[in-house]
Amino acid sequence: MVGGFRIQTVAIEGFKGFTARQVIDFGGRHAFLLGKNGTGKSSIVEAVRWGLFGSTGRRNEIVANRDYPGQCRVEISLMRDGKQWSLRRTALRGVTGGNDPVLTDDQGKEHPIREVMPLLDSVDAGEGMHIIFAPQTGALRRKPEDLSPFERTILYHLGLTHPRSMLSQMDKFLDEQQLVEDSLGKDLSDIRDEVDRNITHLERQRGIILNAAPWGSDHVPSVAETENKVRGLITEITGKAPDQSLVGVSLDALLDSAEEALGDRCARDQGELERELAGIGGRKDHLQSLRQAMEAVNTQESVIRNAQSRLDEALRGSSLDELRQNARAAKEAADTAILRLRIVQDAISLMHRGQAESVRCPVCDDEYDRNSLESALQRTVGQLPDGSTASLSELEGRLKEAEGLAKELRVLHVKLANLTQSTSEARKRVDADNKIGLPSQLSVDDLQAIIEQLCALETSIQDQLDNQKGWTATIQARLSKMREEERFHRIQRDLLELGPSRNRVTQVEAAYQDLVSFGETVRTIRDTIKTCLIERLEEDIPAVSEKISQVFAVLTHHPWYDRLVIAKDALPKLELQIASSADPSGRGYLPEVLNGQAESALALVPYFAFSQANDAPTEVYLVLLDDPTRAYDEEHIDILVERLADLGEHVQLMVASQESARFRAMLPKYFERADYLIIEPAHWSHDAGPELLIE
Amino acid sequence: MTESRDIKFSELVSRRISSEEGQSLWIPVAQEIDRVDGGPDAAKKYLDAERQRLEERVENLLSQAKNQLGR
Repeated sequence: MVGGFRIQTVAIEGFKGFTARQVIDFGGRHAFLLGKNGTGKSSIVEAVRWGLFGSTGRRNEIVANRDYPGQCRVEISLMRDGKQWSLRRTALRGVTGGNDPVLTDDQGKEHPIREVMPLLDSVDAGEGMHIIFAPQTGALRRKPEDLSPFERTILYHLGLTHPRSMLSQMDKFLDEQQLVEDSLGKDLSDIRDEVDRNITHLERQRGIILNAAPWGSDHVPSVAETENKVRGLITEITGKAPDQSLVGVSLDALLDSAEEALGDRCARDQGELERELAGIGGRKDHLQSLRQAMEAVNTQESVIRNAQSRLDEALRGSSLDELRQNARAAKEAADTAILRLRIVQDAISLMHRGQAESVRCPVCDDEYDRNSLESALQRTVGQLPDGSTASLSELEGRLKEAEGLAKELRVLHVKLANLTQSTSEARKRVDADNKIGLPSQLSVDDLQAIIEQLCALETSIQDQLDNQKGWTATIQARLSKMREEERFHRIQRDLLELGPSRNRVTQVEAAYQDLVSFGETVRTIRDTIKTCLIERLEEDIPAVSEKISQVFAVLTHHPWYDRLVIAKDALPKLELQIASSADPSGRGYLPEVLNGQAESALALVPYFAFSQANDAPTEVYLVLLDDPTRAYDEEHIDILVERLADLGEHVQLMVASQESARFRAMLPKYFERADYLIIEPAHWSHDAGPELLIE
Repeated sequence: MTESRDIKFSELVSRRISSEEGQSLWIPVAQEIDRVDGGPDAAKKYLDAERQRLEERVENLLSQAKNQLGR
């Protein structure tokens, strides 16, 4: 077994306050750096730590002194088995932390640092206090990041760092594995669903087609057979074989071509008949209009004739003017007669006024016998035409009727003229589209006969059109079935194409299963490691608890809490709990229940507890403590120094503390004077850096 | 498990897993981890690489399947 290195000298230059190169000669002895805060003792501890680890423990700390003209460098001389080694670390400019460490043996030969001190760049430099228990060999490069320094120390001394680290790595791996499995599992599920959904959809569509097979028999046609059918149909539609441009085209394109041919044929044949029908309809409409116009003229003429007849009757052979004259004459005669009667009556009346026998005639003024004259006048009255009024009324009535009829006739003639005009225009329209060659004189009956001929022709053409449409519908139905056949072939093709996709998905499933199985394998291994680790810890923890409890009790002298317990139910995590042997419940508490001193002491417990272990070969066996007496009272400082003396039996100590007087008083009590140095920074100057008083 | 470097995961698995199927599945992986030189970090790298290989295989086949579906 190879012994551990011990620090002989430390040369510091350009590091923090070291503005000049200084060499501290430890000679393998313990070093107590005493003095007030801010004097530079911590800088020495940090220089050693940086020299060893390349880190002071403080993240992004700038270690190089900006005023120092040379390079920031710490060179540590180490002695092992009588041979001197040198570890020199130089800071690169502009870079924080150490870099470029060079390790040389006593022959001046350089060695890769990991070869000789594999742990130096793998353990935590930490802050505040530090200890190195590094194995001489071993492959631990990095500590598990999720472990506390306490756990790391315990696990290291139990030889379980490797499985615990492996457990951490596998936990990390399995977390990542789960993410990968979830992500790929979802992709796989999506694509499997899509393929299955497509297949189900296509099979359902195919089933629908098969339920009413468009080919109408049990024999499912091949694509070639369907193509031949379509070609035959094209021939049927066009009356000729499909042209060369359709050779080798897809079934879908063939069907398009057939539909196009049918469309052309319909446009040609049906269009012609429809146009003819439209022409006949137009001619028929014109003829019917003409017939209606002629009928209206005839009716009008009849009405006129009737009115004329009534007029003639009213006129009784005379003209209207003659009737008017007669009426006027009759009116005048009647008026004269009335006047004469009135005169005679007046004469009679006058005669009645006198008594004379003779009276003069009031008309002729001749003398007449009263009685004779009166008789004569009375006779005259009797002879006067008294029916002249009735005759006049009859004449006036006839005149009125005749004038009304004459007026009506004038209106009727105007209307007749309009109707005749309409008839003429209707005739022109008929003549315009007349291709039959109608005679100039047509009766309504003639027209009706022509219209009936046209109706018969229209019916005939309509029949032809219906036949044509029926044929087209039949062809379209056949085309539609062929479309269904084509769809069937397409579905078959798609299903065939989905076959490889399904196979591919099966391959993906198998590959995914491999991935999952791999994860399960790792999980099983992880579980196995975990179980073994827990079993081993359960076996070792009582002894560990006992050991650390002893150290804890000595370091703290706590009046109640005197035991440290590692909670079994948290294994493999090493959860430290504080307990009291006087507590019958045996309950454990978190370290937060401790006071400051006891909590500081607790941090030292594992190091003290295991420093006495002599079964761990080390490369540099050093305890580096910066201000371990923080929050300590004198009694506990005494205890600490006493324990440090025990620790110093096995390791080299480097302890910085501001409790200068107490240390100075206690050190001689527990240490041989030749075994330690006291280094006290006196004052600092810009040119020389800290002045170190070494005793 | 007294010396970390002496741990053989394959032996652990072998002792713990009784079924033949489990052993055939898990022991080879454990043996591979055992063979990895460089500790847990290296073992993790081996596991990562192995998973990467399996993951890429799945992704490749998935990609082919998607292409076949015209996605």
